[in-house]
Amino acid sequence: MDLLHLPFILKDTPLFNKAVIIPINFVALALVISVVNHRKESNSKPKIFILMTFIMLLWVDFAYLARVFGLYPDIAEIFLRIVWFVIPLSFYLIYLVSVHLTEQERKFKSLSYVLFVLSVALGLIAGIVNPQGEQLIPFLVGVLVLVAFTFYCVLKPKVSQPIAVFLFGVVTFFTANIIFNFIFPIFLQFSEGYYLGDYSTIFLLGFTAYAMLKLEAFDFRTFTAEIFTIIILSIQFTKLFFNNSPAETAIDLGVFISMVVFGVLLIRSVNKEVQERLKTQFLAGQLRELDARKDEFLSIATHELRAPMTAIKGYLSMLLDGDAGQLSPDAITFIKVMESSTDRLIRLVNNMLNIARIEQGRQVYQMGLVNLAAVVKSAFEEFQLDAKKKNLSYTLELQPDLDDRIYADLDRIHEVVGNLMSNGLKYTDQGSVAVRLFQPNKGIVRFEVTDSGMGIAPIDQTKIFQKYFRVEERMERKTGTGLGLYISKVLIEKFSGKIGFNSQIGKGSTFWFELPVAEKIENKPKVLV
Amino acid sequence: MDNKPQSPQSPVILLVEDDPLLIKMYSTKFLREGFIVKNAGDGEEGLRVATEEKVDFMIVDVMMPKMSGSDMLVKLRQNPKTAGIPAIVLTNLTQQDEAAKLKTLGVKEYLIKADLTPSEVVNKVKAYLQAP
Repeated sequence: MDLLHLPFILKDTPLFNKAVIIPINFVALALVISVVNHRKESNSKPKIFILMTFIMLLWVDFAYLARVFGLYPDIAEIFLRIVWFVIPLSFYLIYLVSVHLTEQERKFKSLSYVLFVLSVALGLIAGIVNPQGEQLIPFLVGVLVLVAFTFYCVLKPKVSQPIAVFLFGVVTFFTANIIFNFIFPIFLQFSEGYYLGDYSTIFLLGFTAYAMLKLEAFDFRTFTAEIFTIIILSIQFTKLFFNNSPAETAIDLGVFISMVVFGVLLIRSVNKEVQERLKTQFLAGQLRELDARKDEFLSIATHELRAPMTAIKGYLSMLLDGDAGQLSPDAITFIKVMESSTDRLIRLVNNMLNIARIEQGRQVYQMGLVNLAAVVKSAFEEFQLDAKKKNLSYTLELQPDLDDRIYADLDRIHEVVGNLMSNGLKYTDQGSVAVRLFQPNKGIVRFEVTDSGMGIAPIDQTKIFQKYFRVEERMERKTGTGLGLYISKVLIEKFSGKIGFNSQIGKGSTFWFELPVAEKIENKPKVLV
Repeated sequence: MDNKPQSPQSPVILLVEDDPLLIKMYSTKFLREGFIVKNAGDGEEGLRVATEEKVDFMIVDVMMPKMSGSDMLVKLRQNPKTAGIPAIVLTNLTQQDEAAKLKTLGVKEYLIKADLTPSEVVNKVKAYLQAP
């Protein structure tokens, strides 16, 4: 054979055939690199994929070489025998990849051995015999057995999206082979397109790589960038061989080199971005975990704090009840101080727990229709004693024919009403605390607590609804957690209302909230009060 | 103050609670109010006492060793003999989903221990026993 004749032989090969073989090799190589690059830990899937790609390339390239050396039958035949040998192995590896992708290696272990022996035997026989015409039938039957088992083990478990993609690649490949390498040449005597069957390998490799990466949860942006770059590079590289003048080749070479440089930069930058994102995801995960731990801690701490406080509060109340005998008036005074301090601690813990729950959105609201007047009356009664102790005028004024049904959580709205009343009484030493419930207009119900207390200094007015803010820091005598108004505001806003106050230092304050009157609906929710 | 006298007709309270300080506190108060008090230190014991002895009312904690209060109530509600015993949950755990679950087990009320004095608890129980 005269190697100098090779260029002339090449000229007789169809252009598409020539132009595609190099990109196919490049893309296959790129897929292998990507799959290996993205491998997270040692597992068998990438190895099987590399082997499959290698065997498929042997098939495609040697079939191509056999065509190129068409004028030299002796050499072409050697290449063809190699192709015969690798075809059953290719089908065996498709089978093996499907077993691995669906994670059934153990289940199909013995079957895999049998099929391996079958495919090697088929390959050897076909390689030696170089089958023609009817001799092809046992060969095709053997290959069909491999194909059947491939489908069997892919379809046996529940088909997920990546497996479906893989299956699509397999079907495309098998169909193209049947059409271009079997039906067209044998039944239609059309053999010009037979290499298309070989080249459909690229669909199989591409879809398999996709499935593999998806199953291992790899990042696709890097993967796509790599494949895209390598495909463009390989097209540009192929172009180098089809130029008519050295000048054109030189220009193309320059373009090719700069594309290599930019391609590498592109992949790097995409990779970097992906790494950053992974890092952010990791940190976000850690934060969530920390947050969950904080919740757990808070809940345990609350529980543990409440247990001793229950005992202190309970025993103190029993002392006051006289369960331990008569106490001296001084003892009773001291115990009452202890009792109110304990209540303060309990309120603090309750409020902190409430805030944590509300802020984390874990608060479950038992929404329903609530008669606000009933809530106000009940809360008003609770504070009678406090008002009496301070000798204050303590009044409740309810507008007659009030439409007071609101849509809210009964316990939470009771909490808000109680909060505002308790504040009014706490900051008023003489004079009055007046509670009012009325409708400024038809759709709204307004609750007000007006006290004749010390009022709020303008400097404090902007901060009054803030978390942990307490006016008494200036007054240095009242006690509170600084959470009551904050919680009230959050709750009222949650129930689609508004909360506010008017105050004049030295004259007193009015704290109010307004809530929309619930619409009259036929199948209204259960009335809770 | 002396205890009110107990008689065979006195209502029997089963207190399922694992904190010895609180057991003592609540039993003292209930005894003073004329109740007969039975104690159980965990859900398993509570289950046994409620099944084997006469119980008119149960006060149940949630977080306890061996068997939680809610698991105990689930088991008691399956037994026709104990299914009807009224109960309140008295705990320091504020878990709203837990509270909702317990309501389905025929629990009258879900109370926070720290928010109530023993005499308030006694009054609640008395009210439930008078008007079940």
